[in-house]
Amino acid sequence: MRLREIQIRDFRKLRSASIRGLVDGANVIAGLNEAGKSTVLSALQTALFQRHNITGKLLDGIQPYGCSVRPEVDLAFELDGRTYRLRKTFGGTSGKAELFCPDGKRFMNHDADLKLEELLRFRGSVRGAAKFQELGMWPLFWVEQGTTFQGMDINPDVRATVQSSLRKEVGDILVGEGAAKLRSRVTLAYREYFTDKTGKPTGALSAAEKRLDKGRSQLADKRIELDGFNASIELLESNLARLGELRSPEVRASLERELAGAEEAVKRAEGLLQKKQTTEEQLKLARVVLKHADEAMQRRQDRLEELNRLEKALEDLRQKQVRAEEELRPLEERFTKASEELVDLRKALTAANSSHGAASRVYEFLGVKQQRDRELDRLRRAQAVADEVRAAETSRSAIRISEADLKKLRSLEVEVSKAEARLESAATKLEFQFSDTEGVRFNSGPLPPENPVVLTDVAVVEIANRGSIKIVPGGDTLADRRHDSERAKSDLSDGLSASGVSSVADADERFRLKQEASRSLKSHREMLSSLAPEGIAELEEAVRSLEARVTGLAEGLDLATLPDLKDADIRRREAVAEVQRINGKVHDAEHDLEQTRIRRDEARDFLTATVGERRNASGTLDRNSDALRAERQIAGDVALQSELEQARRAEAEAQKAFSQANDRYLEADPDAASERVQMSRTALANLESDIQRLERSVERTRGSLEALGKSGPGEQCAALEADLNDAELRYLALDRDAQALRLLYQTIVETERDANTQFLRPVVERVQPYLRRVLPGARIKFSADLSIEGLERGETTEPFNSLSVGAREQVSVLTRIAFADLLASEGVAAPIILDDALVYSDNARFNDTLLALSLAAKRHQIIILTCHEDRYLKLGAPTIHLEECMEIEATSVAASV
Amino acid sequence: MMMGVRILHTADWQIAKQFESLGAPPDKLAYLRQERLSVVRRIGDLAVSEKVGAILVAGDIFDRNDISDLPVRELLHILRAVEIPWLLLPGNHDPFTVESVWERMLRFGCPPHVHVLRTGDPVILCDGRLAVIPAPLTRRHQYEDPTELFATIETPEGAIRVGLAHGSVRNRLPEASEQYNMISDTRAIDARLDYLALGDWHGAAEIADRTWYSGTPEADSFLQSEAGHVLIVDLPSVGQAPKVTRVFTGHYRWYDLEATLQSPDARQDLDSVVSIIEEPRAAAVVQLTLRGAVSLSERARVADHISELEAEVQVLRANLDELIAAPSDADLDEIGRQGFIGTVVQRLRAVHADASNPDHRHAATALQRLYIEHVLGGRL
Repeated sequence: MRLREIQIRDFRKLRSASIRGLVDGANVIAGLNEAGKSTVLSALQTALFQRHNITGKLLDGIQPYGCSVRPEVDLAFELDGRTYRLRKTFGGTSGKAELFCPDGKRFMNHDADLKLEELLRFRGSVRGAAKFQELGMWPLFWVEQGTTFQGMDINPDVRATVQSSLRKEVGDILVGEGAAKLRSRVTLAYREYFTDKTGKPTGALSAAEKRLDKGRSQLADKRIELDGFNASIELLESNLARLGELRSPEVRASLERELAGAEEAVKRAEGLLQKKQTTEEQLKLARVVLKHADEAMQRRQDRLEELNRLEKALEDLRQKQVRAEEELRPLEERFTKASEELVDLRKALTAANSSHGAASRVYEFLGVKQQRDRELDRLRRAQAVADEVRAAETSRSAIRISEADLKKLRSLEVEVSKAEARLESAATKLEFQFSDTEGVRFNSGPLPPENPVVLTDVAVVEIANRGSIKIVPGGDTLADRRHDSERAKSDLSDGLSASGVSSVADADERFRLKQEASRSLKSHREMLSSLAPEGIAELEEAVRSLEARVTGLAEGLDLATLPDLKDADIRRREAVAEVQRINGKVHDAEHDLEQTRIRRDEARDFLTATVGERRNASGTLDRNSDALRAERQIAGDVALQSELEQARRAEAEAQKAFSQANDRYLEADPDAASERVQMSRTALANLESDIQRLERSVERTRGSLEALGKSGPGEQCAALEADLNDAELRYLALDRDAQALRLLYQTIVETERDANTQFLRPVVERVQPYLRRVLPGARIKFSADLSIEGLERGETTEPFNSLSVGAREQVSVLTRIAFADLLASEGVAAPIILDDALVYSDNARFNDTLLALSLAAKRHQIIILTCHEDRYLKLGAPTIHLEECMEIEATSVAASV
Repeated sequence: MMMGVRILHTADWQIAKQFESLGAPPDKLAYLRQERLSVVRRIGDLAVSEKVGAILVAGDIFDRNDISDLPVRELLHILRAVEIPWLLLPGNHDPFTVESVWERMLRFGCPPHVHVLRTGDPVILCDGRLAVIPAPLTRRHQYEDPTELFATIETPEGAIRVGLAHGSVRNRLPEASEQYNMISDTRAIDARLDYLALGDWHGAAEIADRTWYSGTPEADSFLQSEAGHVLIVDLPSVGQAPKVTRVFTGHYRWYDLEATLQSPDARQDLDSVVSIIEEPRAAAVVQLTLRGAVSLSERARVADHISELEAEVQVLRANLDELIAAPSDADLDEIGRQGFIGTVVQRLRAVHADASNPDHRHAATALQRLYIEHVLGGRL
């Protein structure tokens, strides 16, 4: 078929279009989007393949939107070089069809539709719309916009035509009817054993496998149960055997014999122990007796040794006393002589002192008189200043404490401390020696009979016509010291009271305040201090005292012959020197006497002590001698010795008896015997408990076995084995059959695939020259139903649906050209109409495809509908612009009206 | 002079045997199992009709000790019905062990005429005319002669001494036989026995002087000859030779058949082999091993015939692994040498010829299947 002219009126959006001048080879009908290119293809399909009297939705679908006009299509085409003209007006009963044949015949309406079916070799729909995809080979070559990349829809007509063509070329190598039935049966049989998609076992084979697995699992479980059952039986047998052994009378008798023997041994050991204890008691007694005898003998010896020692000591003391008496005697003599010399010296001293007293009195009178005059003058001046001070002191009279008071208080406090410290000192011992005690008085009384005298208080020794000696005790006498302490405390208390303070600390505080108050009187005080450092009263007292002394000293003096003060001083000094010289001698004599006295007293003490010691030693010796005598009356030395030896023999015998008893006791090994008894008793107890335990275990195991045994685990196991063996045999038989079927099925499928490949080789060989230009290295692969399976590249096949959209539309277009080439020999000369079939291709591939189209255009009419006119320029085909083919809409509308 | 006695000697009942190695469907095996109880009924009936004084069962009464209670009770039920002394000897399959089937049987309650022989003490029967000296096994495997003490067992003066034991007689059985539970082949003489009734060997046989295996009363294996009998033993008097009569008691007959088939007479050869299976064939247990190389068509017919045979007999264990199906020219002509199917046949034959091909062993069956599906239209 070659299309030459297409006129369309009131078909969808096309009010009127007239496409003329279509040539053999390539034709390009260009138009903008929405211009109506696809409408042209639709009008062409409708005119050729739909009956004129269509109604309903099909009619509505081709009418202009909103109009009920009758669409018209007028075609001019050639078949086998002869021209036909077809004019169809669609619209139910008002539709009209006219076909003008080259031979001049004209077919109208229904006849025209039938004639077209005959000419174009398709079977139209009796009723309703014919589906274009089912209309012979036409859909293969007329590609609607946007469907190219979806692959080719090979309808049965196309397939039959292609296969017819291929058979002519390669022969009948495809599956015939008989083989197809075989394949079908084998496939069905195969599917009884294996799934179609995954090839996994199914049906009876799967069931046999599962039965086998289940049987194995059940058998394994049952064997475990059986093993447990058998193990329990073994345990039971073992326990019963053990129970039999334990229950054996011999076992019990043996243990009881052992116990009896052990108890006998224990009894024997207890008897030996008793004997051992008896001998041990006897040994202890013998040892006590021996000890007593030994001690008695030892005491006697000690006594004798002591007597010897005392006698020797007594003799030593006697000799010592003689030596002491010899040492004392010269000392006594020397002391008497020294005492006499001292008395003489003291007399001379008394005379010198008298002379010195007279000279001193004169000197003192003169001195005191001079001092009295000086002090009296100072007093007068001081009194004048004192008046000024007194006036000033009135202001601070409130504060009674003075620094002196404070110092005094502190001093008293120190004294208290000291007095307390001196409490530890001893009283003073006074020793006197008078050649004549006449006129000597002690504390206004006679001399005490004791000499020396211990003084605990102040004592005065008066010597008639000589004077008195006042002795203040300061020694160790505690009472004095306590007295001193109390006095010091009293003084302190008095001082505090006098100062009006409660404590020394209080005094300190008051004095500090007084000092501050006294600052203003400082100058007066300094002046007064310089005149009367000791105070006015003191100064007055001093003056009075001096006056009294002057008066007193004047008594008995011949005032008229008195020397001057200087001479008086010389005489006094000379008297003093004499007193000092004699006094020195007295001192020396006293010292010598004291030394002699000390040595004599020491010799006396030594003698006294020695005498005491001798007396004591003598007493001790006498007492020991008396005791020895008394002891010997009780037991003599020989008797004691005899008792001792007897006790020793008795102890040795007791020791021997004890050792023998102890050895026999130890030989009896009482611990081992007791242990044997314990062991035997434990063994007997264990025997009982073991028997009971085993009996319980046997009972338990029997119960368990009885329960388990009812079901017959061994029988079940054997039954499962039987079932498993049957299952295995059945599975093996099924598997053999299944594997054979699998092999047969796979062989059939592969053989069929290979046959198809060989059968379709002419198609492949026709596609390849085109494909080589567009997709070098790729080889197209068809499935048995002629659909495109994919592209082979090397060893791999890329499925069609996995290719890019561009590649798919290229492969699809090229394959249609190849089919057109193939079917040309079948008299099929359908124009190839491509409605924007290559919109996704890149420029290079597009150009390559254009080349293929150009080659194909040498054999086929190709009509390309496109909105990309420029892309097809290289094709060199005549271009018809759709817009130029359309009449003005208004005209069309007017005409329609 | 005392009268003689008649006894029935049987053994190896192996009640509750599961026939696990037979590889047959469980429902078929159930019949075989049930028949081992049925034969005891027949033995009881025989004992009554033959007026025997005692029924001596020489061991392996049960197939194993760990069977369920049901067959034990079923057997007891049968034994109760026949009030002739049944002397049941534990054998190596059912030794008298702890919690053995015997203990259960005793627990269930044995009637007085059913004697479970637990010890070697002689059992005096028939008013003192018969002394049965048993040798029960108390272990499955016993390395000492279980009848060792028979000679020392004293029996009543004038009583016929019959030994009852289970084991293999030394020097009288194939070397491959078991080496335990061995019994001296002179035991009957040594122990002054008038008759030694033995069990363990499943075929009836006089194995030594006055020494018999009764065999199993119901065959249970393809390897047994003279199975399916009991012995009626007449013992006229002390010292006199026993008179032994075999009585067939079996139901199932076991056939172990082999044949090598060759085209074109494969079917006939097979018919010839299986023709020895006696009627009623429903009581046949058959093991059939076929070898040889046959055409596809004959192989198909052989398979068809085996299917028929399987329906006839109780159990058919057919092994056709070594029966090779090789397509003949006629086969190929039938299948079609040309075109698509021809290619399939060529490819399958190539696989069959290639021993290294993993599908090599399936190719013959595949060809066979192709023949069936294509030529016979799926028949068979």
